[in-house]
Amino acid sequence: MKTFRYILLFVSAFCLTTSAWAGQAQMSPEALKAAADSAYAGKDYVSAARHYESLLKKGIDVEALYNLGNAYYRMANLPKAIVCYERALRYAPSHEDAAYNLRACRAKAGVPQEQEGGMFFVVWAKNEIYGHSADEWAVRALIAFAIAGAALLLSRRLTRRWLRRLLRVVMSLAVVVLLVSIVSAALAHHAFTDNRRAVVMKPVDVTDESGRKLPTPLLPGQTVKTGETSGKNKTAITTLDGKVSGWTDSHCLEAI
Amino acid sequence: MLCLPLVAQLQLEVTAPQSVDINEPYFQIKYTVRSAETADFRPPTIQGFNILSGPNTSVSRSFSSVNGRTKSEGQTVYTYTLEPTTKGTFHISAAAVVVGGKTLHAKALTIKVDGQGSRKPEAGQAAPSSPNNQPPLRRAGTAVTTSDLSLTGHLSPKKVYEQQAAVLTYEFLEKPGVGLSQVGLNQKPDFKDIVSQEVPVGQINATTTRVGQTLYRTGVIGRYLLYPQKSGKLTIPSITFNCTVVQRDAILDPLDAFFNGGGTMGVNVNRQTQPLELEVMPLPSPRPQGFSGGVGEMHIDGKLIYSDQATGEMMTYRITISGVGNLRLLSAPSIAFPTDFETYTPKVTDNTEVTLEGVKGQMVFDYTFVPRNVGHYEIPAISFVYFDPVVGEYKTLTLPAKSLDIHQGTLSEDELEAIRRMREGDIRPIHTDKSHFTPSDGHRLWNTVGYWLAYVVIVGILLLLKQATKGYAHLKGSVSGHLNKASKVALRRLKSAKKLLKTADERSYYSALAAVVSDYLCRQCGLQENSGSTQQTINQLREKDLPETLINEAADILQQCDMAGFAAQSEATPEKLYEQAVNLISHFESAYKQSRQSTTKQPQS
Repeated sequence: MKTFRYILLFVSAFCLTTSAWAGQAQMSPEALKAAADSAYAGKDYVSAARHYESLLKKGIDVEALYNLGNAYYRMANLPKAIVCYERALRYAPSHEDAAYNLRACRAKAGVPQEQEGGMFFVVWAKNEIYGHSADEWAVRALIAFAIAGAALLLSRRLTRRWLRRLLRVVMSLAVVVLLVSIVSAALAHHAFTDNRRAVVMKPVDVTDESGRKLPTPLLPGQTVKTGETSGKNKTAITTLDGKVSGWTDSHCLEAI
Repeated sequence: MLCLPLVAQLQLEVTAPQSVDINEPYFQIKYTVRSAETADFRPPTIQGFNILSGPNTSVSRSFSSVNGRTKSEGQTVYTYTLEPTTKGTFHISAAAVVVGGKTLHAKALTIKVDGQGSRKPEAGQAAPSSPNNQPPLRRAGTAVTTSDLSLTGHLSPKKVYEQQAAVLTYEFLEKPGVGLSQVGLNQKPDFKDIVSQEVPVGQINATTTRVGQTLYRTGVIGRYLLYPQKSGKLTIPSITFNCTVVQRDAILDPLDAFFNGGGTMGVNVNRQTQPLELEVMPLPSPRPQGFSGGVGEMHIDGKLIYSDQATGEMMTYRITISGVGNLRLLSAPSIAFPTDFETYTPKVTDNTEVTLEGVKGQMVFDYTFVPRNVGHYEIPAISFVYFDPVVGEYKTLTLPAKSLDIHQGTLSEDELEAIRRMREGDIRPIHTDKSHFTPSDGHRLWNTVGYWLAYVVIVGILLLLKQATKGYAHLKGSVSGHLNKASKVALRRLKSAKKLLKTADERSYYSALAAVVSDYLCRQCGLQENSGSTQQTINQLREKDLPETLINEAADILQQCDMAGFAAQSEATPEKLYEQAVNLISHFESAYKQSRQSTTKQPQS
């Protein structure tokens, strides 16, 4: 009887250990997203947000980030929704719905929209380069490289002069696209890794170097560029339009 | 094999302080014997002390296995919790216990009680309870009476104004050793006509207190801030707490301890508090016009937030009400913005915390508005009226009027309209397509080894393609320019004929080569289909208006093919003949193009 109980003890210990492992991998990302989507559809936004958060603790899913933003919006938490859309756009800058919802939330929160200033061409180029992820540019570069190579090979095989000329033009264009894509991928990757943006979560004042309050405080949901952090839980910030620059409480900011 | 310690080696040891301060709430005497099999404990005679608890028996067993030999050790502890009552030196007689039929005696004790002052007999004296000085738990099955454990509630203050905060505190009172471990509410208290907010208590911090002659442990188990919503006598109903007390299971197998929780067991006990009465005074009448409903000590601040005073620019008027009082119950003050301002529902941010003084902090009201037209505008002054219960009168705070000089903004009417639509419209729906989950945080493709390898793979594929089309290029390279259909067919057939060198004998190759050349000449020069006679073909060629060199070249190839086919030994190698055939096609092609060019130029001239 005693032996049986000891065996039972070890079996229980084994079961406890394995169930702990099993608990960690309880739901697959697909199952979590499906559960969250279902909760959202049933207007249970709190459960939906919880499932999306659980999924995002395991890794990155841009659609889950976008959907989480929607869940926070439905819960009237605009700053959190803005954080989610900003994060979704960080991973997928060409996500049109995330960009739209971000603009809508900013409009509803009464915070400034992000506007690039400068010459038209510079603005267009910046939007084009940073409007796509490094991976998207990387794929473009690969395709351009393949086209350039194929055009080179064909131009040596074909005998018709006009076709050979056409292929040379195609090859030159592909080489240009290849170089532009490689540079853009590197720039987009740098922008991704050197992410110094945060969203203001609470109304908070901005102070200058001497600790004096600046007349324009920050609004919840406002996106700012962050700089260094001081020991007094203060972070250097600059608003997106660059008009306000100073120090603010770190705990009122949530990094993107 | 179980080895029990020899009874002869056993002793009944006693631990107790030699002296005790008169102001100590209690101290303990412990009799310990290294055996779990004890019987007939004979208690000592205790005089000069108040026995708060005891003798409480605690039995423990431990098993260890070394080199296959199992060893069992047990211990029994008898504990007295005593309270010093008067100064002096007191003797405690020897206690005894029977183990294995032998009576073990402990030493007699002498304890001196000294210290300054005398014992305070009044109730309410409290001293911190040390976790190391916990009295032993009671045995399982011991009844928990209301004198052992009770819960009380009290209000502070008992008389308040309407909307003024009163603190409702629930405390427990237990005798040492009862072992209260957990207190929970069966259901949330229903405070009628009262808005309540729970004040977080955190971990229960128990202290000792004396009620009459009895010492108790006490601590706060719950606190609520109550904001009465109407005047009169309001009743706080009695509520039932579900308490768990821990009792020691005296005889417990280690395996039972593992499965059932370590030698102790929880016992559930319900305790009900007495109903309380809160006297609520009405706010003085008449209430001033514009009274906000705020009761407490409050301050107001107003600030305009904008990046530019321009049309289409979103601006915020932030009103901050700070202080202590019913801040969370305040509604946003109404502001009469100019009529041609586009205004939105104010956004409220709660920066308060619930403290024992009341709700403390600030409520931030953000009024968002967008000026549409250029001009000078004024946001009127705002009066905030609240009631101060300390002085018992209404107070008015005023924010001065704010001026705005709006100039023309940079946003076009279309852009403003787009933003307006966004503000009023809904967001785009969620994406329910399949999860694109990646466990890594970053880019999946760019700058990875796989990515750069993809370039190498593309280069490899292109090189393979180049190699695969090399033969075709060689053929085409021999015949410059665009080929007509007859030449293309001939070149393809030549290539097929060459393969015969590997698969069949040379004769087949030569006859195939001759057939290809002969057919080519027929198609290219419009010769009549013949039976394959070389001489006939040559004769037909000579009838055409062709350069002599070309005719000779064709005749040479055909004749060599005939020779090689019959003799099997020929001067010309198969490769050389192949080259000659390709060259022949090339030369015919050139001659054909030249003749075409000359015929197209003639009409122009």
